[in-house]
Amino acid sequence: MAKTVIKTEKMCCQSGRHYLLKDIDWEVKQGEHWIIFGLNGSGKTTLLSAIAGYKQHTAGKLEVLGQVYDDTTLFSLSKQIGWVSASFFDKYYSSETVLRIVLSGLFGTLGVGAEISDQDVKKARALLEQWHVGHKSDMPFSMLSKGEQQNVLIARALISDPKILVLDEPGTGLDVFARENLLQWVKKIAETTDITIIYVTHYPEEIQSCFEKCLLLQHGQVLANGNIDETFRSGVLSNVLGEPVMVQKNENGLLILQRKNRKEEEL
Amino acid sequence: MTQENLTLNRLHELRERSARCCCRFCGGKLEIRKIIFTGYDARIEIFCSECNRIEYGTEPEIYLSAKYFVEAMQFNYYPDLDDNGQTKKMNIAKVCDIMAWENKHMGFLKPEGFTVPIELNPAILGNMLVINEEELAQQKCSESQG
Repeated sequence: MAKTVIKTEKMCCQSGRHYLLKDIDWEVKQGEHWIIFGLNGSGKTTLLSAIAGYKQHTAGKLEVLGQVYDDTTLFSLSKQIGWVSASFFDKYYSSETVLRIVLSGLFGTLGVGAEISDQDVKKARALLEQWHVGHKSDMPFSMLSKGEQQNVLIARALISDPKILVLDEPGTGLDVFARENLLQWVKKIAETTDITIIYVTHYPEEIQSCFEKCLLLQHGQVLANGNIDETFRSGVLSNVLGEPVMVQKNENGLLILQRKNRKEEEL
Repeated sequence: MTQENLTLNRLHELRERSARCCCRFCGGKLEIRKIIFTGYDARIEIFCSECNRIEYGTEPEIYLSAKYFVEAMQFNYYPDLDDNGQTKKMNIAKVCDIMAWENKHMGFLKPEGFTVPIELNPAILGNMLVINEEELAQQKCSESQG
């Protein structure tokens, strides 16, 4: 039986009186591929930053790879999670150089907090080449396009050979070809490795057949959680999105979300 | 080594480094800062408040030497960028990295600092005014008397 890699029980994140996350119960097994879906402000990035060790929950329980985050386990756990989140890292990276950002992934920190070996630098450069930003390795992060920044964050996530890959809206800012490449890469990782993948998206067409689980969030709470066929359905999604929608599959097996018009609604 | 020791070692290393080293870009003072507002005390980084960036820093002697090299040799690693103050800082940082790498591999530089006494070429110091603590105390004393 697969090991549990993420487990939350009644987990809450509170900011002042406001709950960013409330009573989150969620369990992820090794090798599972999850979609997290929800509107802006539903708590997706907060949940992921807590899982990646960049935010502390305020109540309840959070276990990652069988351990609880504290000051002693923080970095050893954090570096095992490859976290790609432009909405998070944009706040902290501006004039930091691309190569150093990628190398920081080795330590689970924001900056390079220790001596780095030549092997590490070679690996970082190879990853940057693989993600088509090798020629930008000495540039400040802010000088790159959104798509290039996204690729740098992917390289950062991969440098520590993570056990869990958390992709927070990775398709945002990418051009049509780059997004296609990204989706193919995610599919390949899902099909050929045992890495647990958590993929956040606003776009149902990014949900590929390799994703078998889904967590739906609304106002910081879990609305549905389980197999994608049972959760990503018209009725539940209409509730999440606040208006009637219809979920269909196209000929390639990709999900399509359509707004229901009034006539369909009446029928 | 236990995880607790690893974390304590990191904190100790960052504190020592921020006190000893300077920013690779501007040569300014470094500080330890909690960049992310989180309950974990260990989540601190070395920061340059002058550049407003996360830094690892370099030895001050390396910075001075790199700055002199960029200025005296008109070194430019970024010919595609505008020739301005920011590009100059990036060039100095690049040379700092190269010099630190070389010093490390020659055995002169360890994570704790230089392993050999350093005598900087006075030309590298340029117009820098070096005042030791004794002179500073004397200066303060004469100011208060005056």
